[in-house]
Amino acid sequence: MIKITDLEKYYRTEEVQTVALNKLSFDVREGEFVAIMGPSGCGKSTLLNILGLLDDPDGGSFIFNGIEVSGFNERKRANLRKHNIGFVFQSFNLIDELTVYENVELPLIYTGVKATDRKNRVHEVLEKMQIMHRRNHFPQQLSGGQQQRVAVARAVVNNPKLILADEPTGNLDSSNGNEVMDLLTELNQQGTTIIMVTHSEHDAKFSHRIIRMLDGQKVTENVLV
Amino acid sequence: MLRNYFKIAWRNLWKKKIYTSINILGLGIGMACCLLIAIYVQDELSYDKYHTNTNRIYRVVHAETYGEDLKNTAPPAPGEFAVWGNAPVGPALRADFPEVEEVVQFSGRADILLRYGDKNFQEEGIFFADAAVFDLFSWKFIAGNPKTALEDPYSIVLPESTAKKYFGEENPIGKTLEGSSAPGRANAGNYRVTGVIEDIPENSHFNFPALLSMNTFRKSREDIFDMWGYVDFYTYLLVSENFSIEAFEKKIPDFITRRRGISPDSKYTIALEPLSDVYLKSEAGRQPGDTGSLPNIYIFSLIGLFILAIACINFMNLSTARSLERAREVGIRKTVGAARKNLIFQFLSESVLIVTFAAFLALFFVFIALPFVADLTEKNFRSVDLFNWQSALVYLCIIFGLGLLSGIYPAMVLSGFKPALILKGISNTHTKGAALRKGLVIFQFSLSIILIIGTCIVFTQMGYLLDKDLGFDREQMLVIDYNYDGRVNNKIETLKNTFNHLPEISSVAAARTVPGSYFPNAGTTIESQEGTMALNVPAIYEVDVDFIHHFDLELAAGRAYSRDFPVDTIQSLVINEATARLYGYSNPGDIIGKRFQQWGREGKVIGVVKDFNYLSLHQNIEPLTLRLAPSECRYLTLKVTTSDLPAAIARIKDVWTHAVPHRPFLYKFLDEDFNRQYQADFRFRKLFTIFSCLAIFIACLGLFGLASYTAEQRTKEIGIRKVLGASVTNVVMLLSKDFIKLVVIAIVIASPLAWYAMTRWLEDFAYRIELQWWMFTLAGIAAITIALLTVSGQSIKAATTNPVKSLRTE
Repeated sequence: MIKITDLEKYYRTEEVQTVALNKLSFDVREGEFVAIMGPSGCGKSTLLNILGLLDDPDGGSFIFNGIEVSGFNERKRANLRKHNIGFVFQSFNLIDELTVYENVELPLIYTGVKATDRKNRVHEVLEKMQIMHRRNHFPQQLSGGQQQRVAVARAVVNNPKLILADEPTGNLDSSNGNEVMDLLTELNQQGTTIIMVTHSEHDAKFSHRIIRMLDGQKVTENVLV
Repeated sequence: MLRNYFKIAWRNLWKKKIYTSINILGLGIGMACCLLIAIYVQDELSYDKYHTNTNRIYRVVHAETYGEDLKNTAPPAPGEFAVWGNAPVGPALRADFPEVEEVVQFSGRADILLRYGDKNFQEEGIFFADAAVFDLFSWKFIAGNPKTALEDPYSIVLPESTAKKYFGEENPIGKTLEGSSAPGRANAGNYRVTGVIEDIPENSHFNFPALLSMNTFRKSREDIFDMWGYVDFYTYLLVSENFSIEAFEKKIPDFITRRRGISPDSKYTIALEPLSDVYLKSEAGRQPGDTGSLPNIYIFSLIGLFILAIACINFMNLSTARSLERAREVGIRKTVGAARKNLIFQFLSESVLIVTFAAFLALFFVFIALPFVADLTEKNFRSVDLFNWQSALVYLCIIFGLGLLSGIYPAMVLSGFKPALILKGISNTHTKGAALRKGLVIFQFSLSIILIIGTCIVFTQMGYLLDKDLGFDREQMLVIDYNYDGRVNNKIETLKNTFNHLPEISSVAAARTVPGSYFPNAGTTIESQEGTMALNVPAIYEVDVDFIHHFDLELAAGRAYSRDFPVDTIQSLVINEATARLYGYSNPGDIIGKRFQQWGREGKVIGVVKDFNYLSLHQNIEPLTLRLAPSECRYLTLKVTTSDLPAAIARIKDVWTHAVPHRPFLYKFLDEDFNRQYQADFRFRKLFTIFSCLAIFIACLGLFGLASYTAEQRTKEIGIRKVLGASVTNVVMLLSKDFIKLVVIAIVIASPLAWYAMTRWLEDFAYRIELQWWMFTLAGIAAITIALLTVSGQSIKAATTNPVKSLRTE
């Protein structure tokens, strides 16, 4: 599903150029659950942004579903993203001014789903995440675990092929964290490909494969299953 | 999707109440000002457009040059024309040019005492008019036949309000009004009411309380209607559909030569003005009514745009300043699939929503303010005129236009954020936006400072107009208008004596004209230094023997009229210095004893008074002759010395009604009457001041908003500085300094622009103040003070916050 070859990304300030990704290469098959680990600043989040089509690589190749996407412009990337990719963030990134229901509904709006279909789909996902009763609340009125469940609901509402999770349990206590990991595992079992960046060895164990990074490069790769 | 946008927009607005109120209030006031100005401007532009034939009606203007000016071969400048002219030109144009389909002439303005039973009013500004007047002008008839109403001598057509005044609910048609004489035009007589028309719309370049038939005038003074040199008529033409003014103007020289002939003493020409231009664009003198001012329309339109620009900039600045707050939302929306166009659309709909609220607020403000503005501008604006489908359409256009205009920049900025960076908490857009915001604040304050300087200069100039020594005594001068009443003139000396004996009165004089009121011009020949007789047409004041002393006019040479010289009444003439110069005498003493001829009188110039400002200070002092003609007087002026004016007036009235019971006691004070010439200027000052204050207020609202956001964004910095030992003053200085810098730059930009604009404005006054450096300094200090007061509140609040708290919030 994903094939990256010699991927490069630099960050430049006026005087210093920092290498975020240094000729990184790996593949992810469809239905796989991959964890990416490494110390802070090793390029994990940069990688996730590129994989999520939020950012452009400076070099190398990125093939998504058989299509080379590294040269795509923003419009094309946005289009590909909204149909194929769901995001889960450490800080949940819900829109404070929208209710739970509206936050989850948002991706469907942007993909142009009809109002009645939207309603059904959102209800379905909220039921599944067990936060239906909270649908009219605003994010600040929820606990961290609930917020992350909403974020996961939002990530999956469009039935994406790929879910990118950036330290999904980083802001949660262990029991809430485990609940979220169980949700992701369940989604993966249903066929969704998951790439998760994490610091937590515990969470990484839920995956099929752990890619360890340092200074923008892959150092080891452990297959767990 | 739209619902989602509006929902989030609404929640955002509700959450940020200060920001929202600043935006809505600022835009609301801005739009209200703009709407009010638009209503005013639209009214000014609507003058005379209501006639069916507006586009086919032209007005004849006349220019006649004499004396030295004859050597100048250039065509007369627009300001050298006069609307008031001779009678024969009208019928001659009609006869000679097939494209002139109809001619209608009016006399000059006449003030006539009308009486019906015990109702008795002096009606000012009545015109004698040709019977065809209603063929040209679409004044609606309520009763009577428009074709014949003004056919017969001594017929009168009344606007509805005049008719009501005399006849109440009675049917006026066929009734008679007893009219006093109109000197030079008609003898006293009984006028038969032959028509009642609707009141003349206010947007007419002249108005009248009654129209009398021109045949009344013709019956009394038939000879005048063939005299090309006799000036007492306004001439309007109805031209054919395919009329070309350029082609017509080419035929004018031949027409003048053919009809009037060539005179060695003068050069005469005419020009045409389209009716739709006469109110705003005519520069000709001797207008039949008030004229508007095109420059003022430009000025107010510009101020309206300024105010709107300032309000829109507030919106842009506050939106982009808040970009960091919105950035996260943008990032999230983009990651869940929003394309840039979705976000642009979202932010634009948000700004349209704000503008919509502002528009409703603006309508409310306009609704409240309209009566005051109507009062201020002396116009008849009604709130109901605001609400119709045309206006609704305009509002809708404004809402969308403004929403897009003020929303597009923030929308582009916000929608351009890179989600990868934002969600990481990195934003490079802040500094770029900040520079632009600073630029916009400078722009806003430049506009505001231009308006502050403008206000300061307008006030100083108006103060100068009121306080300038005009060269004659105008304080506590009570003027009684008896409108040439022969019975009063016959016993004027006795009356003057009686008044002179009142302890409250120090002197009395009679005259046909007092400064600030109507005066004629008179063809006057005076012997030149070479001994030839030179013709010019200076202004003329017909006065009595006491006039010069009474008004405290200073003599530059010779003597004033005196009872000791009985010949003065038939052989003497007093002139002003400008007249002496007109006839080639740079030393006024040299013209004393020179021969003169004027209106059938011959004799010698006996005195030259120093130039005094008998015209408004918009104009230079023009040549003036003071002719001794006590029997031609209209006004009795009394110098009142007591401070108890009401008692003095009561006493004077008592004497008056006792001595001339048939004449109503109509009085005014000379200074007030003279200053009435500046009514338009005072109105301008008031409107200018109000709109300037509002502009500054809106700019300050924006500055306040920006200051709060800056303080908020710099909370951490302030906390750290305080921990390191910064005092409250240090912090306030730190926060205020940045804004003050912008205001100082704005002062530097605004000063030369204001200097240029106000120099142009002052050019309209022949007598004007010099622009002084202190006016600019004062405006600068005012702007800085206002800005400081605006931002210091926020700065102090930020500076006094406990640093522990502000660091914790980070």
